Amino acid sequence: MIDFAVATSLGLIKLLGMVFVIIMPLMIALEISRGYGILEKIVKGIAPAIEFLGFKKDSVFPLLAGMLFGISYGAGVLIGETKKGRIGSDQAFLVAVFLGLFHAIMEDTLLFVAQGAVWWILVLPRLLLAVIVTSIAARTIGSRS
Amino acid sequence: MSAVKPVDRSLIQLILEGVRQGMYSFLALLKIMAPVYVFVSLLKHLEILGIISDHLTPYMKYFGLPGGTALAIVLGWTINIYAAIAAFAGLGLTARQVTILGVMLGISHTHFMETAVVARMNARPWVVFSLRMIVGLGMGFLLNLLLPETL
Repeated sequence: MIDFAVATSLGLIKLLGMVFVIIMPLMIALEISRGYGILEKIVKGIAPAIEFLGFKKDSVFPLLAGMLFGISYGAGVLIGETKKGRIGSDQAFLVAVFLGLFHAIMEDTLLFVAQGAVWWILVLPRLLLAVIVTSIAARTIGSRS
Repeated sequence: MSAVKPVDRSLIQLILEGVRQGMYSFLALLKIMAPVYVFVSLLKHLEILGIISDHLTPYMKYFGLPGGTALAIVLGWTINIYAAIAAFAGLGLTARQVTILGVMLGISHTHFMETAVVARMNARPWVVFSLRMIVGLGMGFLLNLLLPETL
């Protein structure tokens, strides 16, 4: 029982430490790139893709964070934006659908490739599914409201 | 010099705003992740996951996987990818089998934690959870039909 409590506490501290170390620089990078208009430029570059998937520009940074680092980090960024009223519930749902199917893409892929998996079969079907399902969800939401 | 100063001040303000936002998001995640982590650790400790995976063993053949991978699937669903890999690393799986497992678990994993996080996003957690479970299983089934015997 004591072993369990110690192991769980240590594991929890390690997990939260990792979350802190990733989320702080992410949020600082987000504020700086917003302040200097960098975010606008990124969004402009990929505008057609964003529009097709039904995303608004404020969802782009949470999406990028989630794709690279994991859904919790995307959510962490998004939660801050939601508080400021930048991202509504429908947008949050679309972000969750896309990231649900396609996130932490480097880490997950490398882990399975190290075990002998074929990388493009890991990545392409997930990306394709995320694109198809998200665009369907966006149109369903759009036609309802 | 005078042209640089306002930029510097606004940069510091932006960093401070980022730190403030970061603390808010970190605390929001902490409040969700800590209890879920303890709950999942308890599940693992009480060996409930092994009992669940025993019931799934016969169904692994639909995904072209040996019965022993049921534990890896259950650990991936409930805990994370690392726990899943630890459970199948010693099974001597083929590239085809690892690829199928990778797609299934890549789409569908760490559900307690990630569904709780999606709930905190106000993003219809049950829809997202069901979608990932169904798509993950469906892709495993489909890949088993489509992939050649040797990759």
